[in-house]
Amino acid sequence: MNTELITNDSNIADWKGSKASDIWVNERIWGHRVHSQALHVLLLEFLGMAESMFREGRLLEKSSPEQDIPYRARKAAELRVILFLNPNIEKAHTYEGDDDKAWETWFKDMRNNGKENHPSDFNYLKDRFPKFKDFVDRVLLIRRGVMDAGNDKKWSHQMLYPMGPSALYIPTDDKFGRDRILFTRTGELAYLMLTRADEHLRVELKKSLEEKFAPDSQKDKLVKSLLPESSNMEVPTGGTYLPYRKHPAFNRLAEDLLELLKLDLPENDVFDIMKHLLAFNLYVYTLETTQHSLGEARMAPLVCEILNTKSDIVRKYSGVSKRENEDKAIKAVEAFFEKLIDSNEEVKSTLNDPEQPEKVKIATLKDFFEKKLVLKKPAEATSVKAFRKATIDKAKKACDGVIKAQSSLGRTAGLITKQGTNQLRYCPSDPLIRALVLVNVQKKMEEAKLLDRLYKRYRIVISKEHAAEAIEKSSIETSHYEKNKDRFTQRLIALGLGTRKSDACTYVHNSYYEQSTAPSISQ
Amino acid sequence: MSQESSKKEKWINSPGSKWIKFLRAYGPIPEGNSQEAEHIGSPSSTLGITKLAYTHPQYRKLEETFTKEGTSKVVVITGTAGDGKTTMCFDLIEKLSGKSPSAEGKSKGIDTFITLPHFGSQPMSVIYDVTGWRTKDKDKLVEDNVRKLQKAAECASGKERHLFILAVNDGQLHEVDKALPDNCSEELKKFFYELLKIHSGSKLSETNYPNLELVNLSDTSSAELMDICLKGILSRTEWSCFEDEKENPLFGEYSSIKTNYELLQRETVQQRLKDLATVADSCDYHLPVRSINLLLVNALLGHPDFPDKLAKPGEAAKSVFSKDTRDKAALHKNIFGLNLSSTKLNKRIIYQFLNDLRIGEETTNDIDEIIIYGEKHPEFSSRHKELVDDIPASQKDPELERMRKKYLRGEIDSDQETTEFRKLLGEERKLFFIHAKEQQFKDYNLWLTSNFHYAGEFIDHFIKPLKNGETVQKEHIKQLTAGLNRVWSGLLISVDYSNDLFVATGLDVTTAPVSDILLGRITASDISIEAHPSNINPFYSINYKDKSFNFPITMRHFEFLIRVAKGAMPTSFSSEIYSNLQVLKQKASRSLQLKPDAEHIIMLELNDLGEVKENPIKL
Repeated sequence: MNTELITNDSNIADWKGSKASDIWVNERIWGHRVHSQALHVLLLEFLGMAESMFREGRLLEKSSPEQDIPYRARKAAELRVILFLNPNIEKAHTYEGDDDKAWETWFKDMRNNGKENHPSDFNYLKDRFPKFKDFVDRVLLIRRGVMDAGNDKKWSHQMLYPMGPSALYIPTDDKFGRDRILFTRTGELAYLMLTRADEHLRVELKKSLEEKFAPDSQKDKLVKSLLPESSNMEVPTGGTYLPYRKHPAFNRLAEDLLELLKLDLPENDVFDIMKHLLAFNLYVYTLETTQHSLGEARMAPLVCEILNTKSDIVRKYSGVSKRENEDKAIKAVEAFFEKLIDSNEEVKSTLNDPEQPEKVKIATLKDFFEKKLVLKKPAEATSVKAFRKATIDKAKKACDGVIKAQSSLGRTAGLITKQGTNQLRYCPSDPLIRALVLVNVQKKMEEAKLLDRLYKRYRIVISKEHAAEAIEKSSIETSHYEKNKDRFTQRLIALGLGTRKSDACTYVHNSYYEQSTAPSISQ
Repeated sequence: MSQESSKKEKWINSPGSKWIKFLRAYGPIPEGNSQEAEHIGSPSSTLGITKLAYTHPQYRKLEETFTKEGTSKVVVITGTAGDGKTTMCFDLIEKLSGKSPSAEGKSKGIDTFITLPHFGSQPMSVIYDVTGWRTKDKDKLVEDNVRKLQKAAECASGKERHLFILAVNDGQLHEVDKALPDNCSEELKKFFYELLKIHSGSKLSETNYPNLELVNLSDTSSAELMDICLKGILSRTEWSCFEDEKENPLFGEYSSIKTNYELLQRETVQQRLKDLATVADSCDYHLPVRSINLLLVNALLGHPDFPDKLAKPGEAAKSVFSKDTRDKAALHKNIFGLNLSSTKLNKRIIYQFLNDLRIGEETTNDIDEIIIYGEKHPEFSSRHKELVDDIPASQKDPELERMRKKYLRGEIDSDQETTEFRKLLGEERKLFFIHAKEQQFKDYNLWLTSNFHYAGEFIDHFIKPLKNGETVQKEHIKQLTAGLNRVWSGLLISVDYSNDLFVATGLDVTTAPVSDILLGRITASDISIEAHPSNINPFYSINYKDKSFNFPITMRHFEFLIRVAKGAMPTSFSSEIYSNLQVLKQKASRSLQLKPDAEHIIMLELNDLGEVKENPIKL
């Protein structure tokens, strides 16, 4: 077996915590869990966990697969009730000039409408805002920081932009109980990936992230002004599982985020780009993991169409490549079973023993699956073959969830789209292209070198040269890939990231790196 | 032989006909490489006419470099194809060796010689055609090529004494780098690394390569090149053909060449072309010498009735110029390439650029009223007369007059006729754009007929004063600041209250469409417009406490900002420039280290007059 494969036994540890699953196969291959998540939610879950670790002085401490990493997330109950379950604030505001009356009316309203487990004491606000109008203005101002504005989610799922640590909290049910509808653990998985990156990366990344979590910035204070002195936290919760000790995707994600943070963007702008990189790297992680599970250490090619107005070979292949890459997850599940049974001598010898009755063999396998895969409701079968098939089918069915989640991650990252067609395909959006340039280009770089880097690092195929290497020769229409690359050049120029020189020579530049090298101005 | 055919023979080989034949080689004819220095020699020697020769603004500097006593230089000349690299190399070879480039050299793309005694008798190599010079074996340069480059690297670092010139297109430079064999010396690899670094715009670390210099011909001002090319073509003695060969069908009474030559001599027309070249530079559309020659030759010789749309001696000239069809080849039409097919136009960068400007395509009431109601309307007749007075009748399209009358009678009722009338109106606006006198151009603000309504203000109030070493007036800076205020805050801050620049953020990101939380207020005295030594565009310069930040204002930025300052919604057009300006805001915030006060949040609020009020909120 290839020693570089992440699926080597020494690189994996089974999960020691509870396994809330019908069959623990997806989790064992890709982690617990890869699930669809809106882009901003993925970012907030990731930041929430990281900020909690920062508070506890454990930010980016090295972790291992067998370790549970619980953390205390913020509930920010008062803040959220004030911001999102406070329809009568404007009504109380009508008592203009009589602030006491306005406050009393509002307190009463909040008491009457409060639900079980809801905070009811808001007196601290009156001390901070003697004028009720100031309070109303503050609420209206902070409401502007809601993410995905105009969404139709319920109040307890409304989230704020990470404008400071006080704005990070977990979405809950209506009674402030934790639900896993928005925070599906995928953001936590991204955090765990970073905790397994090389030490020097973790140290540097920790330093950069710490600055972002420093409390008492202007905007953090703004949010904090609606919170009581002592903020309520959740009981420590863990349970997220990442099976691998090492994985090429861990360093890759860490390096990308580090490069982004190095740009020192003003205020909290960095998070707006970070979300694309998180989703994109998670997507690449899932595909790469699938490849390794199938014994292939090389990443699968991501043949990317740069948005075209008409259909061509690149478009066709960008769709094919997406489907093939994601559908391999099913094969990864089959390979997983093969390896699992093969790895246990006792089970293997029982199954291969012609003397053993079929019932015993089924019982052995059932027992083995129950232990290893938390197999609940095992299939009734009269032969080992049928039992094995039924179990694998069950796992394959569950794998549909991973495939959908992968596709969803790719879409939210801006890598996958249906734009201009009814077919999902790799076709990177402008924000993703921009994010990739910002973390892969420091000093000016010739476009061909950037394309080489994107190919080597993420296996993104845009030009004819990379298509020739990554795709079967028969599928290549060179001129279509040439035009694809030309469109990439055009996009770079339009995004202010490229400068065309003569003779098809284009330089790609990272807008945020230029200031230090800008020539001096004549006075 | 009949008298008729002997007359024909006479004109076919007359000096005037040869001159036109020769000029055609510079025009938009199918032979794409006809203008290349390596190839233009052919028509030149066949016809016995000296090539169009100009002294490129960079040539003198190079000449000085290589003729200086004890010089030891490696100069890499890059630039857009057609910038004149090869011509410059040929001229330098001739100057430094006293001989024309050798035939053998031309076939190999390299000339190696000893400089004349008064230039130091130094060995010198000039690689002027990289494609011809390099030889590859399995995608890698052969040993002989590598040895040559190794020598250049050693000379650049001062280890060897051998003069070098390497003229190379931008893309070729990278190709040569890629073709270096893996086993070549570290010194050579480092040399190319440094070379590509300076080519990308970084500064050279002079300590390592004291003898290396990179000259990018594309940095030369297109307006300056336009001026040189205009003089170069129009001052040629061969134009005496108009006087000497009056009976040559090419130069007869109805010759568009003659009319266009006369019109192109006019200062107003030349100034207009130079202004267009200035806009090109500001939009990053460098116009190489070859493109400018192409434009000028087409302006002079263009005529849609000739087989390849360019006048030429012979039967065709006799036939086309036997009647007055000069309106078809009017100068303004030829300048915009209207005599050419759309395929030809799309192939040429210079016409792509002119097409992007959409000159004449935008309607403006003032000009349109004059064109449509014209000479007979009591209100417009005097203004019409003023405008057309100086423009020869031959430049007017008779079809416009017919369609204009139809329009006034309300007889244009088909889509086809409407389209045709619009096209004619567009051409007429182009006519005024090219021929209007300076004051008329300003009075009617003829830039309004183009995509760049404010190009005139940009040139007159920013580019020209800075070029002349003057300062940009505060009232003009205020317009730009007003545009920036609107884009950067999303608030409709009035121009009247835009002396100061407000850098503000949203609650989430600094690039939020509505950013009304103040990060820093830059007072008018800390804002200036500065000239840049190697960039035509003015730089908007901000000082804040002990920090400073500046960025170039391109023509596109300027147009966007002024339109926004005058009321257009920032997000309603050009999302690309909008996002580009937002990136500049991020960079400004970072560079100026605009950190908000942690105790207060300052909200920007507008009163009814569009004046900004700062509303501090205690945190």
